[in-house]
Amino acid sequence: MPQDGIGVLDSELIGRAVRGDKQAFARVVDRMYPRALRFARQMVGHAEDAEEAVQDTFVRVHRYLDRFEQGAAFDPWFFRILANRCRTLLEKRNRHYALIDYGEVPPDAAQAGDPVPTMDEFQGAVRRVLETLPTEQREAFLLRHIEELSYEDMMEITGAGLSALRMRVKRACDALRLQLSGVHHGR
Amino acid sequence: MVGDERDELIEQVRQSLAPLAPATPHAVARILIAVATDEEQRADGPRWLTWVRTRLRAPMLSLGGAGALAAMALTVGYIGRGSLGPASPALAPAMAVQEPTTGEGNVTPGDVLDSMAPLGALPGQPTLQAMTDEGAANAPVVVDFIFEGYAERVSLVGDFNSWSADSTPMQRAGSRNVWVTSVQLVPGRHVYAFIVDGERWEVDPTRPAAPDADFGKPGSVLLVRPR
Repeated sequence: MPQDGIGVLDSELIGRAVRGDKQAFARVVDRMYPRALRFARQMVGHAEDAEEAVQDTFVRVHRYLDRFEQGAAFDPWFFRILANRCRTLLEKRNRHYALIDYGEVPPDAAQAGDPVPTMDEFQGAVRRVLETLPTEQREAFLLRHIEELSYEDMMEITGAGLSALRMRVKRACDALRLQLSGVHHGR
Repeated sequence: MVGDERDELIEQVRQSLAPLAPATPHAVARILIAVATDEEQRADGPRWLTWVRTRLRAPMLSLGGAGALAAMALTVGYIGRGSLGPASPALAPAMAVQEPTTGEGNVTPGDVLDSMAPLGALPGQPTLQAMTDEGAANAPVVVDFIFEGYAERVSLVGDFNSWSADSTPMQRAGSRNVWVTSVQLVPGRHVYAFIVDGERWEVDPTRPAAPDADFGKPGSVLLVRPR
């Protein structure tokens, strides 16, 4: 769920932005940026590339605001652009990204002797597993469980069908369960 | 809502990935600069300058270690696009200057984009006026410089660093085209310029040109008002 108003946009604000109100658009940026950066970082796994994807997304959002159907849900429209940018970036830069921003993660976190991994270790292990997932599975998992979007919205964002999306989420969850079963974190 | 596939472990995964960090003023400003640049590139109208103005809340920019330099600030700058002349056809520099304000200076990101219109007071918002605090009249003021342009490296030179091209390198601000640095300047008049890729000298055409080019090259004048 959005926290502290982050990611919460009312239709009136969107409407003003669509009509060219620059203050309103800036507030859209302010409110959507955290969610956008979170999604992009978890998708592309690299901070600078994530920022580039987010910036490109907002440029496109601004450029095509007049095409946004007023009254429609903003999240699917926004995340469709963002997900496209992330996919494009991943395809363009077909290389392995080091998880430099996610803290020190032991290479054998899943088998570490520490019986109660810290939150950072658990988070690092999660990100490592996410990185190994096929792009479409990672994307589906993040949209469903982190952005908490409906499957209907996900269909609009990804263009994939319901059964395919359910399968992607399930496979991502299965992979996480399999690889993280020994890495429950202590709170 | 999303309870269908979620067990304890997936819930832990969700909790580990879900926290959000608020957008920093600088991050939002960087995006708005990119948006304005894109808008200008697509526009048929004036191609040269767009003003950007924002006031940033302390702590200031973290890039380059400037995050520790807390200061209430008023940032004024511009972004430009188009030719600067034959030697730099792709260059579009920008400079942002923080000047002190009093009070919280609550800056909404809207202040940034809104001010891309020609300069003028924002309704209900403080204006470009820098306010003074007599108690800290000579205290150094944190000044942010932002350079917008294609470059491999950019450095800031001025009377405050003896015009040294190595003293104040600028850092890329996430985007490929935005470079930033922060310096502490004592109140008064300063002259500065940018060195792009180690050889190209650029001034800020939106600031007054220094008539007394004390390094033998043109510079721009910055008046830092006391806090």
